[in-house]
Amino acid sequence: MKALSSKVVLAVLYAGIVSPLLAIAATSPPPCEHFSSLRQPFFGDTHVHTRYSLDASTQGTRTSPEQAYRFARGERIGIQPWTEEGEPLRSLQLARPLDFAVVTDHAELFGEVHLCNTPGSAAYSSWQCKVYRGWPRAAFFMFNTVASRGQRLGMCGEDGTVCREAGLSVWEEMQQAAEAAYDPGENCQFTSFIGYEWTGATENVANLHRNIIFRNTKVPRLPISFVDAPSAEQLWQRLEQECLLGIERCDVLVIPHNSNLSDGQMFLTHRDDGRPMTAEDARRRQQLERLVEVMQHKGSSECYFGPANAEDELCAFEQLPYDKFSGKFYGFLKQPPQPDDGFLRESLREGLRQQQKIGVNPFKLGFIASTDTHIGAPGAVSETSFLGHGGAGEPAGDEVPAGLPDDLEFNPGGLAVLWAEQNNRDSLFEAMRRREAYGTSGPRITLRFFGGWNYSAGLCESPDFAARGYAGGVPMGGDLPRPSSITAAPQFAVAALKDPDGRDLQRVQIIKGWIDGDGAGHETVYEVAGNPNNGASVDTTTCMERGQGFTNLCQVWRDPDFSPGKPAYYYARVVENPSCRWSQRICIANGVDCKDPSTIGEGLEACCSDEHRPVIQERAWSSPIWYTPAP
Amino acid sequence: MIRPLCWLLLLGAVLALGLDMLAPPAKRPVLAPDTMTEHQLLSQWRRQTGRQATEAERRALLADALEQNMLVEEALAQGLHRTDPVARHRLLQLAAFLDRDLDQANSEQQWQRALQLGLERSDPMVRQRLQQLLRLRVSSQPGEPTERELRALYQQRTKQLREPDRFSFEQRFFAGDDGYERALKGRSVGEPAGDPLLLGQQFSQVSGVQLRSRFGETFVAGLQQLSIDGAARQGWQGPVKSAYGWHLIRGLQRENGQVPSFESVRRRLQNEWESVSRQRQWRDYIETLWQRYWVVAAPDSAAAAAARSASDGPG
Repeated sequence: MKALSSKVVLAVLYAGIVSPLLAIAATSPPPCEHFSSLRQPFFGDTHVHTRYSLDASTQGTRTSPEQAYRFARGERIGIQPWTEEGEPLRSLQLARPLDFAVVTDHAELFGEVHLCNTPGSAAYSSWQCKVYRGWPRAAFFMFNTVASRGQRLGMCGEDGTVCREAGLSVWEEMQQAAEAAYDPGENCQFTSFIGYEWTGATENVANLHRNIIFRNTKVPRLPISFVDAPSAEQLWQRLEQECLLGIERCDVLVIPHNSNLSDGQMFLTHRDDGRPMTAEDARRRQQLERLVEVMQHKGSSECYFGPANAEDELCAFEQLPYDKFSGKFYGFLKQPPQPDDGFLRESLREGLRQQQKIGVNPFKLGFIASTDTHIGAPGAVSETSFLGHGGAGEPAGDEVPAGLPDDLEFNPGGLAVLWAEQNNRDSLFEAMRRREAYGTSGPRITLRFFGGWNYSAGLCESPDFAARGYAGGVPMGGDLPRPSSITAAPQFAVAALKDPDGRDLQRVQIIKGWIDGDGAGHETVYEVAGNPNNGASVDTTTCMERGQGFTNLCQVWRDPDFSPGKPAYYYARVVENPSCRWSQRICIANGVDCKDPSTIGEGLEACCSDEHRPVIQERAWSSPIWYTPAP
Repeated sequence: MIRPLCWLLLLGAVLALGLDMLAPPAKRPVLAPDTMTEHQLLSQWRRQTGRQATEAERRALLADALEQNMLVEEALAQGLHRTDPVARHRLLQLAAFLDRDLDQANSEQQWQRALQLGLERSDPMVRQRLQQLLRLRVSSQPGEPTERELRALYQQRTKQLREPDRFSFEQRFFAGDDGYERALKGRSVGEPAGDPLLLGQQFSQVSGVQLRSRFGETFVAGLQQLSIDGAARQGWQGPVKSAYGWHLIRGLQRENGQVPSFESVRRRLQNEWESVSRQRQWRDYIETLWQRYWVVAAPDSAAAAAARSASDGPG
């Protein structure tokens, strides 16, 4: 216990002092020629599956990690189906390359099992492997009993090296691919990170998945998978021990995703042993989990929309029709989403409660978005050329597709945007750590969000908006500094620029979430810029967009309902004019008219289902800024 | 009389044993895709391509399905479904789900039920997992490329390796319907203020690709039209149009992209080589494997013959 406590202290010291110092040391000399002290937005995708993920290969994905990175950099890749000669019948290429990407294949492929299954390997003929192959049930107990004592089997050698070596091939290839794609020289064209996905789930198949992203090449020799660490708590402990404390210069972040499918299990306030989370637990979690995916291929996790919360209609955006994945596959398990499923607005509020209760907010999460592509196509977010991230897709050629290329409820996913000085690993990693990040549902909207107490009303007209934003407060992801007077209310400066290849912006909102004295949660959505009634619309029979919006929007806004004693968070949401969803574009291309059943071809039945939402409003979500009352 | 008979018997036994040892191992059967599988494949093809498969494509689809059957059979013969925890877990889960009468705590009973139901051959996830395991075993050691091979690859990939052109400049932005006129006016006053733009005013060594992504295609096209001669670039040039409005540009410099040196991309090339090598190892393995299997027509399938003919080559 004592040893563990000292490790925790060391970890906290590392996070609080050593790591920032390393960061400063790493980012001080600008190696990139394109460097900006006021930071630049870099667009990327931190959630990418290739052929090494079981659920990708089952759908015919043959893209390797190396090819996925090449795709992110602008090269064309082949997409299933494949001909007898191994030629793809479809292909895909990004109109605009990404600035960074992370291949995050499921880690549950690696381990001792690989060794026992590989003839000629060092331990293949060991008695343990013979037991393993001949009597798997006995081996299961044997492996687990030994592992539960923190030991390895005798076949692994005294220090376990043999087993660790055995699982390296795939993991090494993933690392090599990331290394080969990284452009760390003066050009700084593209950054890759070494990463993987920890594919955790509860007994009722609620999603606990998390992506693990390493700062540099200092990584554990094998990824810590759900098999190795069968709970999030164990994952954090192992990462702390085996990376932060175990390897010099190893640094890591954990990014949860699809809390919308977590049945409320993603952000629990108790430990594995059932006892309430302690301040130390919360610190460890906050140290590793700095960001969360607010949206991706499998829906938005921002906020719940339904009978219990119908005020914010924009929460209906890409909301899945079920609360767990089991509900997708088995009708009798299907339940509609519930307010307490793990949507982020409520989870952030729970963080505020925990802050009051134990003194540390474990859920201080910034926002990013990504694709979760399972065809190895990072950044393929276009609604107009969506081939399906699950693989059962349509050709991108001139032929009219015959059906929907993906399940109706899924979408092309989004992008992660990081405000960093330069495009290299240290700079981008630090942006993730300080949560100066935001997510978009696909468009390359530029968004800045600062919070402070004394911004001038003319800030938006100032050419040095960013410099004054930093000087007068904190950027997105930060904590508001102490107010200059007890009667002050916080101000927020928000500025957004449309995607140069996208449609106009409609409006900017600031969402405030807070708790009152007895812990009850509240939220308000403020319209702060643009015009929600600008008349912009889309013709769903042609997808023709009508009406104008805004090229850029900027506002300095002061919270009119501020109460100094109540903890709160604020984030900005930028909304584009309405447009056709990917599914509607394909329905129209196939001539579907829901009033005429004869026009509904094979695979297009979903076009006319009640669940189909033909119109969307693409958007960006800033990371929150937190206000914590003085103790 | 007895002795010659013994010798004869012994000789016969030795001959039989020798012939048996010299003969190739018995081939294992692999089932050709049945009518239902063929129907599913063709239906999926229509979904994915928007048209009916041609006869050649139909044969290729069936051959591919047959190859998958063979790989699954090989994986099963090697016992991978028993030893791999992922495949095993999936089979137990499926059996428990399909047969509610099973003792949910008795995994051995579930395992036997899974095998009775033939789930190890029919469940798509297990099938893919088994093939994936085989592939990992076969192509995990791609070997080392020779220097000559790497240099040849370098030559082949010159176009993809070339760095993009890069631009450095200072900009002033003019928004709104009168942006063009204001920009023109601003150009003549020496130090125009312009409007704020989130992307900033100074840009150093930014690639054309990044500029396209940030400002739009027209902006980069506009930059290409401006002078990079010393005198002209000291003053304000433009206006240049972007997705946001109009821009005056000063101090424009353009660096043409170079092809990086062989040494600087050696690792990247090696990675590409290994990727191709793994693919080749896998195809070679499949070719070899076909010598150990023979195709059995599915009972209900007229198409089995076509599948067989499509697989005649490797079989």
